[in-house]
Amino acid sequence: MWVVAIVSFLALGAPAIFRSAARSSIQFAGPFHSSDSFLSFATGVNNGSERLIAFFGSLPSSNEILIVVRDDDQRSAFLGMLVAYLAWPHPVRIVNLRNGGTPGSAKPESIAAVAFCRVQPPSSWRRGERFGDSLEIVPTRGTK
Amino acid sequence: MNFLALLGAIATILGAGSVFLLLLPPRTRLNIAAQLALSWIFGIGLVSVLIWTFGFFAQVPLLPGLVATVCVALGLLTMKVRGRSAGRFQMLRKLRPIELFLGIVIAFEIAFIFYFSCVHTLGGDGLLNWEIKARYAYANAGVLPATYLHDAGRAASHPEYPLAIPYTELWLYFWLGDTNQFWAKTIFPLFYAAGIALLVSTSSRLTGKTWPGLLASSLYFFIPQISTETGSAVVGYADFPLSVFYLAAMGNLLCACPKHDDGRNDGAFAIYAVALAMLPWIKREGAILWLIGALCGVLVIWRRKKSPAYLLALLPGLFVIAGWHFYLSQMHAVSSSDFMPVSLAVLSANIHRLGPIMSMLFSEFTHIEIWSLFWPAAALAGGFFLYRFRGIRAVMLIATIAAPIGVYGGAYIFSSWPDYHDHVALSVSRLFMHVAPLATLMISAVLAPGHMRSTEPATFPLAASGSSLDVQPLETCASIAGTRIEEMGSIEEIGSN
Repeated sequence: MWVVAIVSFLALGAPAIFRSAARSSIQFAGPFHSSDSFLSFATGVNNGSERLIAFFGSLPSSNEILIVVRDDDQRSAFLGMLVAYLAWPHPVRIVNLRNGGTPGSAKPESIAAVAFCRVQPPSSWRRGERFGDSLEIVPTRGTK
Repeated sequence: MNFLALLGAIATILGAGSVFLLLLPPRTRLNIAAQLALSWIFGIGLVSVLIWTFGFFAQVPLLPGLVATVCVALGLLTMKVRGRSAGRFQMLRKLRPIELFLGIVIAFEIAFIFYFSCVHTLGGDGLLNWEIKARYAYANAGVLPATYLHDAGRAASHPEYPLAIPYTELWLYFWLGDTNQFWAKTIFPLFYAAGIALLVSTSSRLTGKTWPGLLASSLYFFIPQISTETGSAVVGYADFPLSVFYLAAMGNLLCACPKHDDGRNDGAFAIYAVALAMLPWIKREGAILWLIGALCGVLVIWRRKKSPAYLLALLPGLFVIAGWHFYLSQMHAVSSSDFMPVSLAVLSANIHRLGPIMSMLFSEFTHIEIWSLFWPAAALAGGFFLYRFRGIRAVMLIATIAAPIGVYGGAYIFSSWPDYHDHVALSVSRLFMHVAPLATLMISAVLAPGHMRSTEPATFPLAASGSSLDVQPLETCASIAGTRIEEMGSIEEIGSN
């Protein structure tokens, strides 16, 4: 009985494991191995982490980054969290459009930039820095 | 260069963790794999605690220097106290062909896990809940910034989560001289290797045979949820490491509760106490596992009429839980709002969720795409196990597997997600991982032949009672301890393992 169980166990589990092994390869072993992969998937941008960090580095670090996402779009929410991850040491504030989110108590002069994650910026706004086709960051003031 | 730095980081973790081997009676002989596994998991706990506590008064470059000095000093202390026996690890005894074959299979599987770790990215939580803390602490001279802890915009990254995993990644960053998401993943395959070593070692000590543990461990790799799926052992989540600590704690408690205890299993009880104390430091759910493990410890102390002084072994875990919560409250840390406050009003308002939650838990048991036949096999083994090994240890092992699942299921009643079904679906497979090694241990115990039901309450082969040991051939006893027969001095010495 145990032999049958073990063979069944292997027959069900092993193909998934080896399919995973076969379709993967070590492509990039850099310091931003994971965040670059996620950004590439979400925006189509290569080396996105370093570009974003450099961009945020050009903004006053004590000022807030407003991150606009749609909670009904998982990729938008995930992209927003990635932006928050890379925006350090800026404080961040997530604004969820679906829930009618607003910047709340944020003072406009304390906001360094607004990041639109799979969300179109208002047409009246000036164009910001684009990272692929789904992330646009609009600085509210001049860079450092 | 990175590779050498990694070796340095890993060696210091092992050195620090080895000090806990001093809790074992001097003549205890664990094989090299089990010693390294215990040193690794305890080293993770100790190094992360040291970085956190030293961080209150020191920063880079003093902070890593201080921690490294303590690690080296503890490693040297271990070698000095244990004398030559610590310097010369006990090698594996000569293996039988089937054991050699299974050992080679496991070695290949561990190599595959390292490969999977290289080709997979960190998972979403691995990056945004765990590595984020290491990165921010590194950018802030080795200390988690207070601004992060009360940054409401980053509450989704769970600033309130404990620091064992992030600060181990931070320790690697100290050695590498920079943050690196690729090399940070190194620690997780090492947890897999440690978990397998502990599984085989514990199974051998409980069943008196090595091959069932080797067989069950070799099959463990073929569970997609363990090897390749979201939340698996290679994507930087804390769930697999937590499961290894839980295995170390409860496995040693099982080894520490023979029917006629004459104090020879104090070493196993000490290892249980250390692993138990570290559970809440790995992940928030570790506090639940700590509570269940502590209740089992109290049961063993009570049923085996051990001295009440053994209850002191539960204090370090309480201290970890209280200390971390005190720190969070003092830092005014924001907390994610995944769960509503527990109250009777919420319970009665949401009790209707219980049925659907139970249904989803049951579906997880039969989710063969990610678990293969693991849980049906575990359920079957559970029945056999109770039939064979009736008594405190059988009940305890079943309880340590079932109780966490029950508590986790109950917790979803208080989920504050807009749709609690999403909450369950997203996390339940990872929560099941916490008890999977213990279920594998149970399967291995059932695989071991012999010791069928008798009129006497059955005991594990390594119960310290003379009758149980007397029926073991000497070679089997050697396999229990993972030592060569010629190294054994006496039955007492074997029992102390």
